[in-house]
Amino acid sequence: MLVANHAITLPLDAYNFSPPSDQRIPGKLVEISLRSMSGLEGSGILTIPEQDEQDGPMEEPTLVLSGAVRTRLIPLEPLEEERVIVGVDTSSIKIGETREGLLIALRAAIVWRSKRSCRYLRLGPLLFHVTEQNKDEIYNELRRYCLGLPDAREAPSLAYMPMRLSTIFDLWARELACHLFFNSVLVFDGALAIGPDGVSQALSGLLELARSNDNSVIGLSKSSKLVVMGKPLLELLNGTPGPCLLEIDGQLPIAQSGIQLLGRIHVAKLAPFSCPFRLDVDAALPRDDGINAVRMLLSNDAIYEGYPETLRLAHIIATFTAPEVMAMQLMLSRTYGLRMIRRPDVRKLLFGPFGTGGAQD
Amino acid sequence: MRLYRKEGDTLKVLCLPDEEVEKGDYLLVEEPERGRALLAQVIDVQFANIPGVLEELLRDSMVSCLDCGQDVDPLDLSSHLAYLEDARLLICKIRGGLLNGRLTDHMHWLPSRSRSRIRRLSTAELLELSGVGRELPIAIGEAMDGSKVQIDAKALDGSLTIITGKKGTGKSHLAKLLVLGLVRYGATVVILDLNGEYTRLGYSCDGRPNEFYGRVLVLKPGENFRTTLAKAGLSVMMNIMIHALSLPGTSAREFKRIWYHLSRHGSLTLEGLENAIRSWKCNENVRDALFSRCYALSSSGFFTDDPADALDLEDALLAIEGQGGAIVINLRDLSAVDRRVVVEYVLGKLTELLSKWILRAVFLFAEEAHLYLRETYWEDVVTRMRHLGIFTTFITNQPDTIRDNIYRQADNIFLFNFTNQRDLEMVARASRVDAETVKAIARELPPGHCLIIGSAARDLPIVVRVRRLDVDAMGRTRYFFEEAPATLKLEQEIG
Repeated sequence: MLVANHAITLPLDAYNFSPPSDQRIPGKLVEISLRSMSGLEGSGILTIPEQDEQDGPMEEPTLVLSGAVRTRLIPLEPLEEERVIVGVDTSSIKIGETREGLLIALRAAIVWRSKRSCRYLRLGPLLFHVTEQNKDEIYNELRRYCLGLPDAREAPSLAYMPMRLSTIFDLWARELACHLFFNSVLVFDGALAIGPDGVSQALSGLLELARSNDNSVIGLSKSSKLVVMGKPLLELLNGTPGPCLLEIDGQLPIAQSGIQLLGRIHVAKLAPFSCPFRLDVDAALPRDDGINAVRMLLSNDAIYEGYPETLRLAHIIATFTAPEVMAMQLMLSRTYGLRMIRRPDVRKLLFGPFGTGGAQD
Repeated sequence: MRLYRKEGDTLKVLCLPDEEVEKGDYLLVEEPERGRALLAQVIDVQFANIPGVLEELLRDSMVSCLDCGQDVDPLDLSSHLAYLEDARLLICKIRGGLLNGRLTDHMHWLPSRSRSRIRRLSTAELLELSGVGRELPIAIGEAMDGSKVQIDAKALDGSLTIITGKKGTGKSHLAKLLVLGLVRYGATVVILDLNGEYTRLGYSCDGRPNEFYGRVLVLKPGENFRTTLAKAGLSVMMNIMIHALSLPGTSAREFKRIWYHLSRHGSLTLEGLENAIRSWKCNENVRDALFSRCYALSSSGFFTDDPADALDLEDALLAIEGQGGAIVINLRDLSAVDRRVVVEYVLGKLTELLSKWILRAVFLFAEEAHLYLRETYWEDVVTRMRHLGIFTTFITNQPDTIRDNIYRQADNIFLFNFTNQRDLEMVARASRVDAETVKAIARELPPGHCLIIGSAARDLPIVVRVRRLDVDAMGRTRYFFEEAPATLKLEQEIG
């Protein structure tokens, strides 16, 4: 059960739907963020990493579906039934490093389309200064207040913290959407799966909340590590024109990977000649309802290059641009007296233009 | 402000939105521990190239297209972002160096990016450093920061000056200000006034005589300004015949012979000239040519046979020599030919008086000189005239009517607004300033503001808002809709 502690009322009255009585932004989140940064005054220097160092370590392993796998091609026709389409996406970025730890920024965006009108809610950014000293506290507080997971766990190493905080924030944003909307199609960025990360188990409660509000949840992934019948999942629809779904039905080696799938897996082409995506539909929904949710997505949302416009906009609105990163660094410098230093690129120092992508200004 | 780049004599300086700097301002790039600094002028203000700003703007546009949206931004990132997006890059030209507080030409060194301090220099500080307008100050107006700007009258002495800008920007106003400034210091000024707009220099705005009343003499050719052939003299008359009236060479030779003949017989009058041409033994074509020129002289009304009716320009000039005064030659309502005749006479007389050292020097102000100056005069301006003591100021709104060599030799340029690229290209040929400065600053000068270039500003171009002058301004453009008619106002009120 998801229990978010809320403090600041969201200005949602303007969006043509009635906000639930307890609908607020989690003030606790802001409080944890500010508390984490309270130790920054003495830090002095914020080292800014090179752009290509931004990506943290990858957690997702390759999954090979084995055994008897059945596939079924489902041609898609738009289902002309009025539904609100909701896209949810979050973004995280490492702002820099202090002597004690990392500074991480998180932001979420919810975009929804009702009839022809499209609206958005952008939450954040929230900044967290994660150190070896406070990482367990931050991790567990966020798990508890954002996801309702009461048990205390050891936080991952600092290198994995950006990704883990991002996952928690993403789950929180999704939960917010499930909570706010009724009888809608919710489109999340990513697969509907629980990994061994200690936080994504909240997804099952979140899907339950969505169903209780008569929502249908779809997870859409631009890439996939799944291999089916010896082929990468997204190559299964090569040569097949859209719009269509390829339903994958088979035994998955869940136990081996520690991943639990909560959605029915499909390869989707949502427009003729568009790119294929992995599309998960909440597995607890009746099969036909899941397919109808995708069909309602086609009729109620704009599809751009085979991708729902609401989700595309949510991604665009949530993502951090370079000037925004600079603006956050400026804010840190003004508020906490941090001096920014760009970390020298050791590869460039050692090898110059050789092997580092060529000479650049 | 932080130093970003130096390329040749161009500095690029990063400037944040709360640092007030405008185009035309001066910056001091100081290295205090080395006791030196660079003096640079801002010639353009651009947006700083913040990485990813295009992406940010595109997203903003996209988001603003959505029907409604809400940002919950607990850190107030948007204000910091706006601050960064408005960061500016100042393009500056190095104008000089400072060594231990003194202005020097030593400016070819590279200031430190990390240690140099950059600050805006007020115009008052700049003028103090450069010593502009210290000896014989003429108050010109105010700089953009409100500092009083005055130039040295000596900067116009022995100099060739150009006042240019598109119409209605205040060129004539500045010319009047310079004229009166020079007169105040005892200079002799002659104004070739094409539109009769200098004729009220001796009156203040309320129409009453001002302090210059007795020192401004307005001459209207054909009315209070006439001359006799004898007073004009052969040399001046030959110039008029050849340059103003385009008399061919053969006819000019005959004219000279007739002149000597009349001079010997003491009948150097228009009537005598006419009779002599009629009876002169010469080719009929020559006779016709001489007759037509004689009629032109006669019909101009500028020549008289009555010595009592003639004005002696020499006397008029000598009357103001030393105490300072202006002679305004009102060329308004004169035909093109008559204008050229009068101007040829005046210039001929001035040259004569100056070459005999009867006059010391004359400041000549010429409005739209291409309408009455002969071709060869332009060469004379940059060669002969300044050595004789004629220091010309050209005032024009058509910069392409002034020759290239005049721009190159100009000591001072008072540049008002131009938007036309061709006009700017023309003025940019001046050697006292780089083309980029002219093009970047002149294009954005508001009316009544000018960029002072050259020795008057000690080669430190300054933007000045020209001050008001308590003189009856005749040169203002006349408007039909100056004041809305009462009936129209009434209709608007009812509407």
